[in-house]
Amino acid sequence: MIEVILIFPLIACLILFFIKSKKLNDFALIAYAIVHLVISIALYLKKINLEISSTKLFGAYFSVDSLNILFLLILSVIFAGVAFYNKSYFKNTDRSDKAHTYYSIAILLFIFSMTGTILSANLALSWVFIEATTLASAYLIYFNKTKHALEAAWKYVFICSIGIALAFVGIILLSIGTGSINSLFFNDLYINAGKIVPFWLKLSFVFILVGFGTKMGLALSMRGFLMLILKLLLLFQLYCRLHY
Amino acid sequence: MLEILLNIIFLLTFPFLFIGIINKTKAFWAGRKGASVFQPFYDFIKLLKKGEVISTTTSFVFALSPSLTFASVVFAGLLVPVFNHRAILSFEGSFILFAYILALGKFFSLIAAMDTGSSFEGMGASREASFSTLVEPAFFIIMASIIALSGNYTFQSLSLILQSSGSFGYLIIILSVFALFIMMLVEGCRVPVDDPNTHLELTMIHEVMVLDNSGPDLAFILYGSGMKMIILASLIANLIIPTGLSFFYSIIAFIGIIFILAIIIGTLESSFARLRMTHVFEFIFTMSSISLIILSLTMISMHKHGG
Amino acid sequence: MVNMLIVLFGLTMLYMAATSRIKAHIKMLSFQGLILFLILFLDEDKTNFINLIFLSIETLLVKTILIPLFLTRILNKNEVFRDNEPHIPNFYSLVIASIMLFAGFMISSLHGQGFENVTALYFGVSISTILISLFLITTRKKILTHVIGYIMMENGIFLLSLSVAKEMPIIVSMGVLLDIFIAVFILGFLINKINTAFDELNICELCNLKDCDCND
Repeated sequence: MIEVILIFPLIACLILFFIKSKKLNDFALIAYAIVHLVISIALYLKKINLEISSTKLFGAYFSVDSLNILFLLILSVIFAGVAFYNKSYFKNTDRSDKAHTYYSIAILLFIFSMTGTILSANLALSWVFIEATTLASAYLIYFNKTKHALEAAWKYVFICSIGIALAFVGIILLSIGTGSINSLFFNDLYINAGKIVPFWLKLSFVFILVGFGTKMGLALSMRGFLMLILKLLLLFQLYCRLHY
Repeated sequence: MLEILLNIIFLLTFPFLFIGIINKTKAFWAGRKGASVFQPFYDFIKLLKKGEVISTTTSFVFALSPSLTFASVVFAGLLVPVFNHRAILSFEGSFILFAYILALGKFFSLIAAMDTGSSFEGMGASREASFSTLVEPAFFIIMASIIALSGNYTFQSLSLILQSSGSFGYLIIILSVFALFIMMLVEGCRVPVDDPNTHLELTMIHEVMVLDNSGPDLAFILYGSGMKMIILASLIANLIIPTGLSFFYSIIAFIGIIFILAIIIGTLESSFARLRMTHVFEFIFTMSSISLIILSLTMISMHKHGG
Repeated sequence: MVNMLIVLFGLTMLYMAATSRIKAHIKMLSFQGLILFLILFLDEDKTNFINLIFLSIETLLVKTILIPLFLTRILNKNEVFRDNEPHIPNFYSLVIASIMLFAGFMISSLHGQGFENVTALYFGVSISTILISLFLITTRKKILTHVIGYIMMENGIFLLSLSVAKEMPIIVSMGVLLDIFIAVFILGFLINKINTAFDELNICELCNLKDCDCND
């Protein structure tokens, strides 16, 4: 289940890269949106019924628990809306097929990274996926290639990069505080939560808050309001986890 | 007894040699043969034989100050240990007297410069004063850190750092040497703080303060500035030389380090120009930054060893 | 020896704060890369061998050679050599930077809870490097200096991650990933575009989009 939701966009990106056609792009996006929605609802139902919590393929790196599934559902719903809106958004612009393909690939990668962040069970892996979202959405911002878009893209990339660098400092401080527990899996951190030195935990929380907060509060996105909401949800989830 | 005699001979004769070596190094880098290393001594004798011209706009301060400055520098020289032995006047807390006696001498040279009524000298005096202002707190911070580390309140603590500080000892010594070297450049008015060879009035700092002096007064001012550099060089040498050395070897090491410092100053003078005025302040402030680093390293080191 | 290198790293930060010549900044960046490479080698009980090789190649190649080379090429193409008069004059910049360095040392020598399992000097210099880099980013005016400040912050983060490298070597590799990400993305891509679109690399030009005004 979780493997499908993660591997599907990668395969779709490869296919789209080699076959460049507008219809295929729209189709791929809508297909992925439907797959995403279906899988998240299925995971939600399974979670309630059977308590399945990890995948066979990726091992313990991705897991679904009661916090994850909520955000995954929200992401699915919003992405479904975006995918359907996308078709008519592109009808009015005449960009070439190639540009449209790159645009769709970027959206697919963006949602892939978002999903990866939500589903990941390791703090370091979440951080890597958030870097990937910066990359993907920077291309989306610069899509129109105007002067305004360039300025927005520069500001976005720079501020996001500083944000994730500060969040990385927070992660390092957390690992200083955990001392002998040598892993950043959320499960291990929950289980050993009493052994973490409180000073380092608080310090790392502040750094991660500031870091992901700068990345999140950016309203300059030319992609509009939707991406902002998505990011808000994503990062709010990370706070909840850390301020356990 | 022998040590005290050697100490006094060193203090009285080496300033000429120091300035002579600096000039010889500069000549070497410029491809000239240069004057002999004893030339400052011959200049001193020549100036002593001349008569003095004293401006009529000055008062007794102008006549008094060169002797007072020179006396303060000699007194400060008595406080500093040379040749790995105690200083001639050594007591606890002597570094405070050292700093303020030097400041007294500098104060008198400043007001003598302002006494002449010439605006150039006043300008040089104000610049010189601002440099010294930046140097003094840094010097106190460095001395306080070193004294806190080694527990000895005299200047002997400079040699005793390694015994009491463990792994940070070498680091603190290197940083202190660098900071005291900057102080030597400031107090001795050398490049990059002040160019002793410039003749343009807008760029002179120390030279312009002594523009009106002549004859024996000028002789003692030059002697005094050389002696100031020797004193600060012996502080640096005290930091570098280890304590267990026998007397003979410590004499050789001391004189060797003083020569090397003179050669370094000469090389710096040949390679760099004097910095722009705003950049000079940043350069001098580097000494304060390094002194803060020394202070924090001291505190870390004392924490580690349970101070 | 490692202590000396770490303090030297701190001193390069002071030099960066005091100067406005961009060439000097770039030289200090490669010097910092060299220092990090030496620290990696001399403190050899930190990681296992293969990881060490990978990290040292990355440090030497990317931090010391490639990124300064990129920056120098951008410098020469745009003929920007000096930062304009920064918002805070250089002297006060130096004062503030030394106070931050001193504060970093002070924090690392605190004898509080939890400071036992971190090497004191690493932590102090890293935190002060990060703070000084953020300070430089906010007070300077040219985009290139902002990027240089960001790379300095990454060097500081790398130093911080070396202090936990023994327990969790994955973190150092993540730091390296961040480095390469920035090198490829910001330097290679956006600076070229900004060159062709704007005349000067001044952030005063980037003032058309402000907060809370949606320009779409």
